[in-house]
Amino acid sequence: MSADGAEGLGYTMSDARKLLEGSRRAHNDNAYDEAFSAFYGRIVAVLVRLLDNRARAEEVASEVFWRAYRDSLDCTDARFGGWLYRTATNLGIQDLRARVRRERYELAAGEQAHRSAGSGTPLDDVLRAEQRVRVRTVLASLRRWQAQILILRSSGLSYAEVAKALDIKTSSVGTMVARAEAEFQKQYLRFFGREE
Amino acid sequence: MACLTDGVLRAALDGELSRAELADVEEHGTSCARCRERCYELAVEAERVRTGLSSLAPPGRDRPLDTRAAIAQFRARRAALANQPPSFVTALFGRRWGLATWGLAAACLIVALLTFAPARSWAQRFAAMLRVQKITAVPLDFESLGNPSERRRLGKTFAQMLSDDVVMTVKPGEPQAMASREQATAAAGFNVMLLGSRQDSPRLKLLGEQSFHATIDRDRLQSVIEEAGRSDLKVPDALDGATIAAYIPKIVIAEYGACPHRRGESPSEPSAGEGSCVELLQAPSPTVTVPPELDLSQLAEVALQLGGMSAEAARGFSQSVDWGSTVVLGIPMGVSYRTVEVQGVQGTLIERAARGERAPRGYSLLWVKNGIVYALFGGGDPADALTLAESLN
Repeated sequence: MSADGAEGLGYTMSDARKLLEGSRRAHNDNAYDEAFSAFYGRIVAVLVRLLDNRARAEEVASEVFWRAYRDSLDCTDARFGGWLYRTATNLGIQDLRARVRRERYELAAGEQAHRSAGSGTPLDDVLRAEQRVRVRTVLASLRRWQAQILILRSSGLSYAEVAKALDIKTSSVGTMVARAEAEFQKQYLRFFGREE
Repeated sequence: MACLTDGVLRAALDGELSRAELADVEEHGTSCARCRERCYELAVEAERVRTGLSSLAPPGRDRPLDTRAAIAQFRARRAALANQPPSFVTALFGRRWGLATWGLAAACLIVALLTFAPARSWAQRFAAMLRVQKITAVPLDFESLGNPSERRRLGKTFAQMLSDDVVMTVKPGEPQAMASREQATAAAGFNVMLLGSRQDSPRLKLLGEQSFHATIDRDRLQSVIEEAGRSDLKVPDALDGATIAAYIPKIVIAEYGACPHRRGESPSEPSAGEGSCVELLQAPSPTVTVPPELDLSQLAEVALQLGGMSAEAARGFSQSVDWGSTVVLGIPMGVSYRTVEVQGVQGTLIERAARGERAPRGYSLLWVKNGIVYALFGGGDPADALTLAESLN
């Protein structure tokens, strides 16, 4: 398929969906502006945690909204927020994994932290920077839903919000959080050993 | 009472249980040392992870977020979308026609099959340029992919994946209006055919050539399939990183009658002796290059199973097809199609039943002759398609 074909498909699907559902709201530009204002900050906040780079987080957040628009998602639907979180974490994790692969992140972690901290920086800061790199390395190694659930919970989403974002039952969230945490611990120890 | 699950204990620690549920947990906890112990373990684990993840929180001295600038950018991108030129797929499969009828998931699967189907012939052991000589239809049942909204969501994910992983190297640009058949023939580089039985003269357009390549991301493909609830299907590891390149030659579009226009296009002038809208597309076969080690029958098998075919049927089908020269069209159950003879070759006639005023009865006829792919779209009786196609000259 051509890129243009695929792009064109998005375009065609918009048309088709409008035909199918007669949806007038899907492409309501004003509603999209409102949804953008309402969610942009929250989506960026989640992505900053994953990517440690504000500019990149903003870029990815914009891409999330773009895809919603391109695919004619109804931004007035109650599930829209959940879709945004899901797509944002999907893209964020993909980005993070690519970076980890590219940079052999975990090995470079220590050096990088020291280098970026420079001389005269309190030891605390250096250690914190190193810790961030480690946590991200572990997140990149988890299964996607595990990383998603951890990052969304740590961004302050309730069980109900997490359930919407991951398209699961609220009653399953506790079990999945516990499993994700256990896996996080396991992988952390595998990468970095036990040290307190 | 049986012991509490980790999920319940974990939710209790997060304060995510109702008052009644919490009371049950507490009551059980007073009499069950094992659950108390487990709860403690979970709390320790949760705290460790929480500490780790809290290190990711932004320090809070960042510049404030400029949401307005971001919205402005978003609007600019939106405006650009409205002016996008039509694409090969929209062109080849008829914009209003195909997708409204088949549904989105169906469209995506067709795209997937089109992407992957024209593969090498099994005898070849080297990368080859493959050309379409034949179009084959295969019925697919998308009911297995959950409810309609699930299917739509899946369709979008698929489209997203395709648009992300595909790199366009030559873009077609805006379609150019052609004044005459001679001009179109000269510009396209092949003999342009027209419908002899139509009295009105068509509006002719030429869509530029396109080429692109796509690299298969095995994990991503697998996750899409898993999202579709088919984690039993496995995309072979060997496909990861394989690059498929394709070249699509110039396409000539002949439009007869009063055809509705598309977003970003100016309304077409009704042609003289106006009749119902018929569109004829013609283009030399696209060529697809794949690496020699790529076994596309494997991928086709997965796609066919995703479309509701049993594993055995999918294997049987993919072995019966000469992937070196055949484009496989996935056709949803319920849409009728048949093999017909057109211009002395085999063609596929797909019929569309009327679905309300917006989507009246219509047809699509596809065939390949002398290396040129033809597609005829129109409204009304599918039998008309054959009459029109036979009048091609």
